[in-house]
Amino acid sequence: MSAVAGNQVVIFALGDDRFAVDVGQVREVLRTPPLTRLPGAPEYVRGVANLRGEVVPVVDLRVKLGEPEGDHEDTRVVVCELEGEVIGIEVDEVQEVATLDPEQIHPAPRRWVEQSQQAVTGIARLDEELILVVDLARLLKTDLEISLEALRQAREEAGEAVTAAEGDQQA
Amino acid sequence: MSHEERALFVSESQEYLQILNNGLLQLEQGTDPEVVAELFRAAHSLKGMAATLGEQGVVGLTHAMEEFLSRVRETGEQLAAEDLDLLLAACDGLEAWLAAVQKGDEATMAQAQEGLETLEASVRAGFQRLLGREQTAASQVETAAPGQTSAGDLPLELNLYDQELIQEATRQGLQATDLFIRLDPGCRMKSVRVFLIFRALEQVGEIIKSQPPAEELDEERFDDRFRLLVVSSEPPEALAERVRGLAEVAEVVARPVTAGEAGAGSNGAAGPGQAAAPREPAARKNGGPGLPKELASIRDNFLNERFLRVDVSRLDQLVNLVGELVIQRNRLLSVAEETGFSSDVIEGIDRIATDLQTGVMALRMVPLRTIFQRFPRMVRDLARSLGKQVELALDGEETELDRSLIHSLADPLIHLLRNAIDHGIEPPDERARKGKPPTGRVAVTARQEGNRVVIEVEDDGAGVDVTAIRRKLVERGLLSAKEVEELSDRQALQWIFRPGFSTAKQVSDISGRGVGMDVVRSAVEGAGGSLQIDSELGQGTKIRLELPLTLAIIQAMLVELAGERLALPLDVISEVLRVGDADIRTLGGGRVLNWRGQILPVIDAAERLQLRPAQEVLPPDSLALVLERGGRSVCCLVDEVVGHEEVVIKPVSKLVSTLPEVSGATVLGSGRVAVIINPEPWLEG
Repeated sequence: MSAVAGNQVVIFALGDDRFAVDVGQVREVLRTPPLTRLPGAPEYVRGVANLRGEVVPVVDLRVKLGEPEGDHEDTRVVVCELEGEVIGIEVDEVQEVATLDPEQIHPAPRRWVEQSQQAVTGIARLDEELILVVDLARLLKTDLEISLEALRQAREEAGEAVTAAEGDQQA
Repeated sequence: MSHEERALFVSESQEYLQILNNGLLQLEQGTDPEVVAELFRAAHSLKGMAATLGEQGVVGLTHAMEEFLSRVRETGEQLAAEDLDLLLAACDGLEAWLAAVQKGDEATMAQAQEGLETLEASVRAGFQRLLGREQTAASQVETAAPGQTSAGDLPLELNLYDQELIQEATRQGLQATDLFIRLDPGCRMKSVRVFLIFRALEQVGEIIKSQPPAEELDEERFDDRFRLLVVSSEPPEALAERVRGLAEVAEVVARPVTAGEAGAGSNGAAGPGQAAAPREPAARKNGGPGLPKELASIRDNFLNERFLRVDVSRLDQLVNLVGELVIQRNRLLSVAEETGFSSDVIEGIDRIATDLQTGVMALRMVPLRTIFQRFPRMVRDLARSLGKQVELALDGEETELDRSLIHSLADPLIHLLRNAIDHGIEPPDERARKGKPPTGRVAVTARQEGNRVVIEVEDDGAGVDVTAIRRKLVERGLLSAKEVEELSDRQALQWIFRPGFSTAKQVSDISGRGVGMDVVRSAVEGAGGSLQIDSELGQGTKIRLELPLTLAIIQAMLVELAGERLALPLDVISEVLRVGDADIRTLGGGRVLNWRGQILPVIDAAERLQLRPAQEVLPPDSLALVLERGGRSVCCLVDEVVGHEEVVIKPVSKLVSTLPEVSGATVLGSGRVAVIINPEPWLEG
């Protein structure tokens, strides 16, 4: 499971939304390389790139999450491995690698874990902001249809639960 | 056994088994002493390898086979079908055991082990039968070995091979001695005694034969007596003295043996092959003095190994690295061109990279023999079980193909062969009625044509009924009656490669379940190949497979389509025309090209590949490529041709689905990725 005690996470942004992903899932982060269109590939696949001689497909995470395509300006690609294959995920920005203390991470509501087929794994409090911790590999599964809107809702609900729990602790 | 030892053992054993299988089939045509000798050697080598690994089941069975073969070698007799079946069954048993070893699964191995024991017993029984047949033959005269004493119950049997060894020894001024040795009745550790006796004799000579065989002595599978045939510079009596000097030896009788004396047990019944045993003086010189030829040849094989067994994964690693090198070379060349930098260093790197690539790719080439050699046995068994007579002709086994392709080719070819025998070749009586020779003929031929390998499977059987195909197409609602009418015979025939389409009247075990031909097709196309069928009712069927020589690196033409650069296999392009100069017309809603009197369908590549919508008007400066493969042609439109490059084929991620036209991708000299197009779907129309 990602986001266990003292885990390092990579924080990336898609527009105003921030997400955290376990650093173990990320092979590297690159400026989006030149892409070649792949005939017949799903719409959210922007194309294939040359990654040091390897041909790697790059997925537009916005489109995968049901959002309209962005302008692709100054975007980054988070390279990760999925079922033994390398895949790149285009995001707007990669902000930092943060080390989370165990008390910063909380489990996500079960409903969302299930609905996202475990793509949503937890929620973390970072700089007074609540961020969803996601499993990128699961988020990219072809049969998973989850929208950015739904992820925002998941974050809200998880955030409320976390705030309530923290309130209990302090009381 | 370590993993590596096991792999080596399995692969070598498979080679010997293949020799056994093929040789036994040859014996069906008559006993050829050379073939028998080869078989004997194969069984013997197998036994030797198994013995070093302590695989007693294999040792037992191969030993029984050896005895059998050794007998045949002496007598030169024709083997009955039951004998051959028995020996073939033994091969199957060994194969099953090998498969179990390969799997490393204990339970399967134990089962196979049991199988080996059963087989050993039946081969031994068969051997007794063989001896029985001989003894009843009136011409056989029993002659006792001269000079026997209490050894009468254990006559020394000299086969042709032993005699050759003795002859060789005599030529070198050595003496062959037959030593009969009896141990003390109360001797407890017989194998230790045997070991000491062997060691004493081996200090002064070579033991070329032991009776019972050394393994049995070693396992104490004898009562108290045995015979040794020793080649030494010492006279018989001196050797006897050496043995008598050892503890727990009760009796030693020594007598000189000459090659001329017909081996005691062989009854002097020299078969035709025996009298005319060919001499190979050059090969004979290999061994050191007194070293038996066989041992010498085994030793020489180790010393002068011309072939090296290499783990395939190491080879693949090299191929990948060379692929990287080729890409970097291409980049270097493109940078040099852009900057106008020219140097002999770049030329040198270019040349070396090309040579290295050719060399490494050649390492992956495997002759088709590796699959072809399985066919004779398969065809024989299949023909027998179907009550058909089939003659198999193989040609071009030496043709080489990339090993990854060889792998994907084996199953389709076997399937095609089965089909030819099951559905193609008629039973003998039916053939006779049709005025054909009762024995059907199936030919598998292979040859290299340019960058591709062509394999044809041809039979002179019943052929495919095109009318039946047409009828079926309509019946199944696959095509309308009108569409079927418009099909040429050739186009109609191609339908048998479509999924779920089979014209076999009855479903048999072997083929014709409606799966099969489409499986063949997808396997061949998956390997970048194509498949054609030609058939004439009553005359036979010919299926032609075309495959690229290698999957890893191809010559490609780079084209531009809607701003994208794509690669097309160069060998499929037969002409490049300017659209403005080409005779392209609109016909029935589509475009066609009139090319050298042929009307070819025109494919708008960019549209097909979903790169842009169809073009209403074709720019006269764009290009029309004529693509040809296996007698089919099509015209494809591209915006521009930007050159050609040697490209390394890389798979496109399994995570992403693509059009069937995408056969892979490559990294160009510029560093950009180009998709490689497989034009096969277009050629099919």
